This record gives sequence, C-alpha cells and structure tokens, in this order.
Amino acid sequence: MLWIGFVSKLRALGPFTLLLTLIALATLSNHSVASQDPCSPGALSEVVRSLEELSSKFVDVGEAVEYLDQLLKACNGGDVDRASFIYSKLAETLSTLREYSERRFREVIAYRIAYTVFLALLPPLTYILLPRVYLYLWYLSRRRWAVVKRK
Amino acid sequence: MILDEEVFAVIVALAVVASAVGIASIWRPQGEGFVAIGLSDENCRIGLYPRSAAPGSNLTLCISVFNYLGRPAAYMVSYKVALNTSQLPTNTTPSSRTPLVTWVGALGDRSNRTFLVNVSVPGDAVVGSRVALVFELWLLDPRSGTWVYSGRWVHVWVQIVE
Repeated sequence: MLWIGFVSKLRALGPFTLLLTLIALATLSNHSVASQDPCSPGALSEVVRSLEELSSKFVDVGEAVEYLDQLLKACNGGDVDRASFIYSKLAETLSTLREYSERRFREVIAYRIAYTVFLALLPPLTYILLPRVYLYLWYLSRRRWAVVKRK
Repeated sequence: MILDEEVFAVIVALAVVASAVGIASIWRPQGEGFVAIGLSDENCRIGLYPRSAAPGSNLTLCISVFNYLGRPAAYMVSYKVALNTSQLPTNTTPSSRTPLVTWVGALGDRSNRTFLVNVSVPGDAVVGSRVALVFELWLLDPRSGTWVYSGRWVHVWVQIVE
C-alpha cells in the first residue's frame, strides 16, 4: 500500500519526474550489486548458495568451484583487484550455469524415470519373453533335424 | 537341454532382485554428509611427525581436507597453538586460542585437497614445555554468512627445545 501511494505521488509530479526517478532508482540498484565487495561474507555466501542450488540440480559446478577457490585465496591474500576479476568471471559462469540448470534438472529426472521404468519392466519381460526366446532358439538350432519314426 | 520350471523361476527371481536393487540405487536419498581434515608430515605421509621444535622455528606439515557433504563447500583451516589439553578444541567447540594463520579454499562434493603448510612455533613458547599445533576446519555457512566450526580438527604435540 505504501509503495502504491509512493508511485501515485510520483505520477502526480509528471511523467518526466517519474522517468528520472525510475532511472535514478535503477542506477542505485545496479550500483549496489556491481560495487559489492567480492570478499565480503555476503558476496561469498551468495556464491556458495548459488553453487549449492546448482549442484542440487545436477549441474557440474567444477569450474565455478575452482573460481571460488581462487577467489577465497585472493581474498585471504588481500589481493582485492584479483578477487574482483575472479568474482566477475565467477558471476559470468554462474549466470551461464543457471540458464542451463533447469534443462539439466529435467534431463536427469527424465533419465532416472526412464531407467526406473526399464528396471521395473525387467521382471515381467523376463517372465514373458525368456521362455519364448529360449524355445525359439531351441527349435532354431534343431530345425535341420529329421524326425524318424522309432521302429 | 530344455530348461525346467525351477530354473526359470530362479532366473525370474534374480531379475526381480536386480530390478529392486537398481531402482533403489537410482532413487536412494543422499546419506549424511561429512567433512574431514587430516594431518601428515612434510612428505604428506603419516607417521613422521615432528617431535620437537625450537621457539620461533618453522615446521612444514601437510594438511588434507575432504568434502563429502553432498554439495560444494568453502572451507578454512585455522592454525592455533594450544599450551595444554584444556585449550584443545572439542567436537563442538573450537580452541579458545587466537588463530595464527588461516588457509581457505573451496571443494566440490566428493573431493579432497592436500597442501603443504609452513607454520611457526611461537617465539615465546617456554623451553621444556609441550605445545599442540592445532589445525581446525571451519566451513562458510551461506545462510548466516559466517565461518562455522565444523567440529573437525587435528593436532600434533611438540616438545619445545632450545
């Protein structure tokens, strides 16, 4: 309600003011993310949280973990420039992995379901097909046999 | 040779068991995760630990960290020197001593890392006393954003000599 009231007041100021305010808010919002200290506990926690989430969706996070390892070492060594550089690469990698994660999750679940169905069908298929296949092969191997009436 | 009913029954029974085991292994839940830390000598072998050291001297040791939590983890190994057994960590509480050095890193699930560390024995250690070189394993908790003691540590006692 407070937010709606705020927006309606802004609208009363005119479209130009509203536009300027929205640009300013967007700039501030972007600035707070971009200028986040890569060595801060918040930034590191966010990275670990993302890795956990991606890992739970069966995404291979090996490369991102390697970046995090380098980031932690750079932070521990006080090399902020290197930490910022690695953090940007890590953010890029995580973004790419996130785009891929849903598809990967669906693929793995589909594979598991298909494999489960196959395994569940194995006993009835064995029960139905094994005697038939065995008999077919048995007759096949003896098709050249001649039947002679016993005297 | 024609297979009789008993042989077919055994084959079908084996198929049932194999199917059940296979399905269970696909959908089995993740077991209880754990982390571990190991300490070995400068050749990364168990057994030849330093027994004595002079105050202010440096020792080279080998640390191994293992992650089997079922998820990636950021870890920190914290080096402390305990002057007596009451200053050693426990399964629930870390040592009360101040960390002298820390090493950090990240590990994927089911992976480990072994690295050499060069630690110094405090210069003010009393000659003739025994001190414990303690290495604690801490993990970054992404929910709280803080380093949390994992309950795992290793230590080696050394005699302080001149």
